[in-house]
Amino acid sequence: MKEDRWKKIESLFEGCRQLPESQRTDYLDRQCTDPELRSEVEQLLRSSQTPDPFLDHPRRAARLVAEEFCEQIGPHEYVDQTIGSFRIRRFLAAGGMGLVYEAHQGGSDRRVALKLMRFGVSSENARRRFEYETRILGRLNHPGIAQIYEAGVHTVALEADLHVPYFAMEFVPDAQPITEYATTKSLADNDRLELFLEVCDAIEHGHQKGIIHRDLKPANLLVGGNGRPKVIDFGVARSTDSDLFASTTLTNPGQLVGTLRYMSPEQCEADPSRLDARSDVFSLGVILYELLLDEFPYDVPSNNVYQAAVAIRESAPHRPTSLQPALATDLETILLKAIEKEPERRYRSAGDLARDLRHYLADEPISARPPGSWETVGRVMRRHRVASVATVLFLVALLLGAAGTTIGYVRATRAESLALIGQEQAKEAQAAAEASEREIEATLQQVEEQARQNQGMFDFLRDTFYAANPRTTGRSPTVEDLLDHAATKLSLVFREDDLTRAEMCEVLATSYHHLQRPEKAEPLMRLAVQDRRRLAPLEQGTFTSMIVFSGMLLSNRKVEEAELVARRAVEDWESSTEEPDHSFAGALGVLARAQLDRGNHDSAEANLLRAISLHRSQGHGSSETMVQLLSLMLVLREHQQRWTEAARYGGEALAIGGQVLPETHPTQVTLRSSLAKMLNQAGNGDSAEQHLRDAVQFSARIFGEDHATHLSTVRDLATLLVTQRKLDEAEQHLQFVIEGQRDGLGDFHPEVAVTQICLGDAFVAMGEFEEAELVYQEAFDLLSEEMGREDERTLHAAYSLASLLLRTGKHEDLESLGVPLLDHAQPPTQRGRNMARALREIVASSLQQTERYREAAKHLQLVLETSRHDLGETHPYTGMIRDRLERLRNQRSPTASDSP
Amino acid sequence: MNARGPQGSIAAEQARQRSQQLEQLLPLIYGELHGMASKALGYERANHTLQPTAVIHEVFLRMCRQRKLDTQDRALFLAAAAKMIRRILVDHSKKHNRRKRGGGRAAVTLHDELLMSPGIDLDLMMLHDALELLGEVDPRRSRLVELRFFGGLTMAESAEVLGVSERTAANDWVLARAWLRQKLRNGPPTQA
Repeated sequence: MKEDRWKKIESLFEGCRQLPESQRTDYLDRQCTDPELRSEVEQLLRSSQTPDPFLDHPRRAARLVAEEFCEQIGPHEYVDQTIGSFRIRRFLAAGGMGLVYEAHQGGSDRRVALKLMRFGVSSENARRRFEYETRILGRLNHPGIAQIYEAGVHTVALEADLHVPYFAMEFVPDAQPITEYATTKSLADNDRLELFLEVCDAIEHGHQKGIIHRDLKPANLLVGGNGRPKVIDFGVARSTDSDLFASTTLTNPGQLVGTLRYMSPEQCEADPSRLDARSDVFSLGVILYELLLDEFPYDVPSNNVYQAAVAIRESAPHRPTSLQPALATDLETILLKAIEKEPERRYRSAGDLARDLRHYLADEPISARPPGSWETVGRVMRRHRVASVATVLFLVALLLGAAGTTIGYVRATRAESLALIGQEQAKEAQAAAEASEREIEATLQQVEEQARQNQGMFDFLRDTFYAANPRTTGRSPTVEDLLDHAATKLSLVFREDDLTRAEMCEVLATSYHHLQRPEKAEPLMRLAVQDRRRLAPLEQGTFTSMIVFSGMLLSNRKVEEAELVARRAVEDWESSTEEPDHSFAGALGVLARAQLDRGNHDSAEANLLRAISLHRSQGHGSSETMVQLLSLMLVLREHQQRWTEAARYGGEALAIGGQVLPETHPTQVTLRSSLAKMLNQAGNGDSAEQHLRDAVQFSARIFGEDHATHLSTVRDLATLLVTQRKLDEAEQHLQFVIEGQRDGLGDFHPEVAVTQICLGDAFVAMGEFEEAELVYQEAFDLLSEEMGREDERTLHAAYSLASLLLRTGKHEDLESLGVPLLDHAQPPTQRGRNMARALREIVASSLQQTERYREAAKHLQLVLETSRHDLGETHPYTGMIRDRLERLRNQRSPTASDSP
Repeated sequence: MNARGPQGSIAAEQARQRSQQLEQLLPLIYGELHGMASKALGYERANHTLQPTAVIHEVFLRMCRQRKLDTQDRALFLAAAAKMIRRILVDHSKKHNRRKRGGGRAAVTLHDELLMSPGIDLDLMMLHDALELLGEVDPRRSRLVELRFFGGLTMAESAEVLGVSERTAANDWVLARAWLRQKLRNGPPTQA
């Protein structure tokens, strides 16, 4: 009967569908007497015309069903399976990054939380990288951090190429997220703060070890049954590359937004390598905000990921006291500082945040200041949405430039250190500039005042920003856009007899320099120098300008002109009435660097020693410039192969650097690396290793683990470890470096090959000759293709490969590699010539071993000649070759019967 | 129903026979689908996300190889998979809610992140209930919906499986869809 009724409905429905709408009422009047039935048909007819997002798209719906099916059923598939040494007992939860299970360690009753990541790693390199990262995580040891017991890669059955990373972590019994815990226990504000402070201490521990959490949210801050908080998943996001925005595979947008709420603005910008401890500080700030106010600092739409990201980046936080008027002002200030949009303006670390909170609890003055004068200038820029770090830099540069001589000192020191550290580190100089923000902030008010007084400058800046308004250009301007705009307007606005033009040129040029745009920086700086020399030839400002110009030329590898400009600056300075103060000493330093680069060691030494003593006598013995001067002495002594002295200068530089350089200064890394190299040369491998390990830690923290500088630091460490016979560790580091360099620089970058050479050395030390031959060959092929056959790196690879072939007795391979390469080889660099000579010596040995004495002698003779020329007659190497050649000649004579 | 011709009957008979063959493979499909679920948990392989639908296809290809299935039987295979997916989801939902609250079922909800507006999710358990209800009075329409929503079959493939012409299937779809719309979206769409 039910079926009969349905049959009727079907027939009426189909009947109506055949008819135009106007006739349907008539049709139903005639065909249907049951009003209930009729109403149902009418409803169905209406429904058939109402669109529906799912029912109208069955294919899409089916795809979503399949996804949902996997989401629901998939996690349970692992229950009772064994992963690593763990047996999975129970599925606990699914998160954006992985599935969490309760598991037990085989044999024991140890209960662990086992997290199976969603993101498989397929390449061998990705696996090694994961293992490397997780070993670092294993070093976290703090009562507030859930210990990672084991991490590994589980290979999914039937899918040999699918490897799923997992972590076994300390299980926190009766865990609750920190916010939930505070609510259920109705904790008072101060108790919440105490709880939060414990979290900060744990995070700070991680930061100290150079590890950033990257996914801080209440769900990762668990309070156990004992009332103590534990941070879980520390650094896990990083080790598996599952930083949220780096991945696009999340199926559930709600889940993503749940995490997004706590993400820092820079995290929303999807560049994981730029993150540092301050990103964690931001997340902590949002959590504290929620903990104290039970609200989020701004409205994050819950169903749209992209709008949520925009809200985090752009919307201003609600003032805490507007939500809870009774909240202490200091607490508000602390909260707002923690969640500043720009990392530079936040607490530098969880430790700093904790310190201020403790000050607050102890009724002591806090360090954070409510938004003030800095805010007013910053607002101009922020309205125009320019990238934050660069914004600060640009603004600082502009204002310093505008201020003219009053803060000429600040500018001069910055200019010197900029010039001294050179191009390869110009980018890192940004970090340095950020670090001294505090000092700059102090002078800003004054600067601002001056900028206002200089009406011309002020108008110029205003126009520049106005023109760069996104509404007129259609997109957010980059700093470079602003600079370009300013540069084109420059000569229209300022007359050539106006020093302001020179000042403006300098500002733009240094900014371009920071942005690594030497081709734009150099002509502007040249113009500035010309203007100044014409208008005020013998003033300190002109000298400083010349020194900065010289530094830029140096970084652009125009060494000759750099020396010329620096020397003229020094000479003019000496002939002027300006005092030869510590700034003059800085100029001497730049000159010395140019001379050093040109190979003029004696003049460099004289100028450096003079600069150092000037600096000391002026009471600037502990300054950044001093550190750079001592570092240059190290380089000089290195050239002279006076290792012990070089190491002594390095040690001195490091001691001063420890006092005057911020922790985030790039010199912290470069100095330690160079010092280690000298110590190793001087025979002190153990100290060298210690300094290099420190350098690696610093570079991870300052640059991030993907950064080229960090990778080459790790490579330095690995190279040393090979000589220290710590071969396994060395190999792991090198594989990590190669992977990172391939990712960052591309597969065919010469740096990749250089690392391969190091890896080959490690293999040789292990006795893995086949592997070694393979990587040497790969490195050689890459380098000869990309860099040419006379490049020093190509020759280095060839030399390494040839030595190995000699060792394994592959004489034919060796000769077909070495002989054509050496034919007419004229490497342009000294190191290249050294490598070619060493390669020729290997070739000679090979010929000698295969009893082709005449040819061997011919090559050895060439080795001897170049050695005499490059190293001198008395150099031990020359002597050694001479002896060998003599023995060889004796061997060749028919009377000689001894073989090598 | 008057649209079915003699041609249709032969097609229907052939389809029925092949369906029967496939029924024997159901336990196997069951296992494969479970495996697929864990495999497709968003894992990336060589930088490509494993799409669950692609995985179903992979399962089919594997079974073709192992069980000498004809690749022509794709639609039939998908039909069997659709039934199985539906059954597994319903069982799962029952089991998990029993564990949680001692009865009822856990919601299994579809939402499409592209749509972004609230209130348009689809509750799969409600869909299942509705299909059960429809199946009592009109098994063919109920099956048609199952094929399209749980198996992702096209109208033509569905028609083939059901042994009817594509036109008939398309015609059937209109009423089935209208009826579901009314059941699932809480009563009559008066606002329209």
